[in-house]
Amino acid sequence: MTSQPGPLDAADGVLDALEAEAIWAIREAVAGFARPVIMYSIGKDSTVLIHLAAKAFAPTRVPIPVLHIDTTWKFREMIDFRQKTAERLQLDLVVHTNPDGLAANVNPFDHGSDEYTRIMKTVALRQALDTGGYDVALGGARRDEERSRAKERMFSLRGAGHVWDPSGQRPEFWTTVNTVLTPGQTMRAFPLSNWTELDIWRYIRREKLDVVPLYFTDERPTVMRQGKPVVVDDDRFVFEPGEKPVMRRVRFRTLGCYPLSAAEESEATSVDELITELASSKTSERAGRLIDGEGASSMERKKLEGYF
Amino acid sequence: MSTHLLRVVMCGAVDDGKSTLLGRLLFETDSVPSDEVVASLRASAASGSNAEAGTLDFSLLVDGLESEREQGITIDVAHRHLWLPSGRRAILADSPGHEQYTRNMAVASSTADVAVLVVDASRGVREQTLRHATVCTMMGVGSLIVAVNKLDAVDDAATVFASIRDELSDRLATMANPGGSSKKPATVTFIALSGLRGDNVVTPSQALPASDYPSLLAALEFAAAAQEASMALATDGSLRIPIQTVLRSDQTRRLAGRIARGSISVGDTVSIWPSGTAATVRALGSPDETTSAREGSSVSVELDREIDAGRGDIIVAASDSALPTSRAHLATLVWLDPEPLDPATSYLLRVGPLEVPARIENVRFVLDLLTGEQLSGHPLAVNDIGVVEVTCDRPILLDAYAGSHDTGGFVLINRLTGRTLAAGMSLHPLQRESEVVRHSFTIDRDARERMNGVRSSVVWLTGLPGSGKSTIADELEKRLFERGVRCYVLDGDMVRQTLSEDLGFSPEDRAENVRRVARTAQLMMDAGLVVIVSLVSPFRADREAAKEMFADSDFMEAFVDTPLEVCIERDPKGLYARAGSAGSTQMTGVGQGYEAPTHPDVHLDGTAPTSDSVDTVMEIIFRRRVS
Repeated sequence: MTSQPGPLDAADGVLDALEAEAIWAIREAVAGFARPVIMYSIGKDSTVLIHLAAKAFAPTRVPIPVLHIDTTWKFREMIDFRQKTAERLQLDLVVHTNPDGLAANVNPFDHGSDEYTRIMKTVALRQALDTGGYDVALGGARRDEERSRAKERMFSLRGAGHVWDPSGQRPEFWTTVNTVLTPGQTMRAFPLSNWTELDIWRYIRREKLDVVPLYFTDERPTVMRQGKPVVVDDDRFVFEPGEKPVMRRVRFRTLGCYPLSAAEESEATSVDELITELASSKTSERAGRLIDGEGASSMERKKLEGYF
Repeated sequence: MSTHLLRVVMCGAVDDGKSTLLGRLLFETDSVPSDEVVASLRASAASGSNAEAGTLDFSLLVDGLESEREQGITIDVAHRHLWLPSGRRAILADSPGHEQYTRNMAVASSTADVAVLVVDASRGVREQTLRHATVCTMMGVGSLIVAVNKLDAVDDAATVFASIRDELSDRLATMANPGGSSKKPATVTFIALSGLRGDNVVTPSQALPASDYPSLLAALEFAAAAQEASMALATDGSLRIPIQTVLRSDQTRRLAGRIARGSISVGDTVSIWPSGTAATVRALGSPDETTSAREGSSVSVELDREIDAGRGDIIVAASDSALPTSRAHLATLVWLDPEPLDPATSYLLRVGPLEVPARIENVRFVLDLLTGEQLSGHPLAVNDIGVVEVTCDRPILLDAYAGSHDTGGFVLINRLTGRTLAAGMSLHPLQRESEVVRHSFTIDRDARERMNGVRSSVVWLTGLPGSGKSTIADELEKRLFERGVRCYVLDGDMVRQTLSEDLGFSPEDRAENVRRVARTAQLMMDAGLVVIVSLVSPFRADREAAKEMFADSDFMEAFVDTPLEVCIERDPKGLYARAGSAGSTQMTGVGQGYEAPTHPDVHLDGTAPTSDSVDTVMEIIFRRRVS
């Protein structure tokens, strides 16, 4: 988040430094642990993370599995994009859905965002990590996303049950990572910790990466929720009485489960336009997520339960 | 072109106003999103915060944890981005002031270019102020900006500012660099300000005494420019690329790591520590294909010949004749954990990807932070800073920290709890009589009792006679031994002459032979060894039975897959020739069948170079670290 993106040339040097740091972290996570996995959420940060992983191990393909927690409520375009990416990069893609949640038809309309997120994302993630026996999970989280993320280490230790102990974090010095895990402990690694939202887009532009088209403005059917436009992505959407979708020119700043992701009105149809728009934006990226508006510490509480 | 992110640590004693100052700085430079400001305003009103009604408690913008906001203190480091007016970027790490959380402050300062040391004008210089100043200097922070805060709250601000300035200047001149681990003392400047009112933070104020800079923002801008200029002028140090991993494809083998120091180009002659083998750089990725790369880049290096190199080894310049290698090194240590130093304990020392068991047998002195005195005969406990002798199980390359943070800084880990106990900064290697002869250490019982840093396990090589099992086993043992890992080869021929001298080659006898070997391997594994079994073991059922004696993570079935024709052609012991002429019915591959594993843990191509197979197995062994 910034008001001054700085001259483009200057930014490139910063991108080089961020790229080198991220590749170092990816290699360290993969070589330093026994069973690494990459968490893939299909969004822009994941797109950059996967691209960096491909670079980190070139000329060999990404040597570890890529895990997607599918809540079954993702945008259809996201799932298409996931499949195309997996094919193009020959990824070892693992998709997991919480079977209990699926059987009970847990959904964001009937169960509320908190309970839905806990069951279909947090619990699902813990199931997938435990089943796979993964000891390190790499994710695309950034410190500028949210205040509890700003506190997190690049290599972040999790205790039994994947819980984060924010006041007892493991010290992290230079490029030396303590990779020792005692039984029950696992690690999360965040190679993009020091990137900003704008860095992500500048890098996408520089590396000419494809992203899910939902990031760019288009006419989309919407209804208003909490004063923000929500896109009706399929016929499972539960309308309020008398409600009808309205076509609006919107795009997404972050992507998640479609009933919980608010779009914003915008005219940005290209990466260049998007970067210009973002550079003058005054709100944070997470303002568009309908799931963590419940309190200043809601993300921290989710992380304590094992959320990413 | 700006190639650098300026890393800034905000430090100082608790309640001296770091978070408020940082929040003010971020707010006034428009670096905080509006929805976060609104959330903080709401929190300011709701909490019992010090801020007046309707005003913003700036500390709430940076104290990100619930428990922090509740207690009104900072527990761990928050990282925030700040854009300077010039367009340069800074990452600010707000670190805790509490003595209890010194470890977190040390973390933030370890990678910082600039430190902003906040001093509360009404309280003056405190022990924790001096501790932070010492840690910053030791960690090699290049520029120290002392922010004398809360000057709006004292009478006669000019006198207070001058006295703090004099006191701290004196102290910094005489202390704060025990053993000389930093390159040079930091440049120290002073600035008078008020985080609460915003005087001299971003906007200069006439109300406060004259300082070295008009504002904190101006001071950071100056530091960023100076940093860039010094980086442009910096001459390359000797090359160091700690190898993180080896990337192998059909055609190539690349050593991957981040350049800790120096630069590398295609055509350079380099050498691998510790093997000492030299080779020429044939191709380079950084990460895209290029001809040269500089310090800080993540690279993959392809050499013109196959040489033994793996994780933890270091690429150096071939001309580098004075590598600082030794089993013993003198180092400054910051002790971070409530568990105090124990000279009898073997810790895990880690520098980058390199790991080695080490002890601290001698504490030369511990620094008294208030007086600057060097206390001897003092144990090293939490938050202490001292100079120690570190003794490793084998010689390691450890640079002087002043010249190379990434290859001179290390951590000590308690391998049972996994906790990082201390951060160390090497001063120089120590030469001792015991280390004159390299590799003189023997694998005695005492040594076995110490843990390897690698989990003991069994590597079971199966394959046809002549498939290359013994060659791989021999090479593997050599490589493990070089790395100080205790290991032992149980070879089929040797076993037949000893343990199984009473057995023949019928299927029943073969089953019994496999069982005995597995039991023996199990005992050796329990004794802490990596056991390499090199045995034809032709029957799947026998191998399954052996495997079942072990936990999954302790046993690796490695199939050495070599076509029968190749084995017959190799026939290193003349077995096939003899069996053929004698019409043997008990020779595997001739009279008896070989049941190839369907799902081996590792599938080794017996026609590939031995070093490839050994690399593959080594990587797995080293991944199965102590847990």
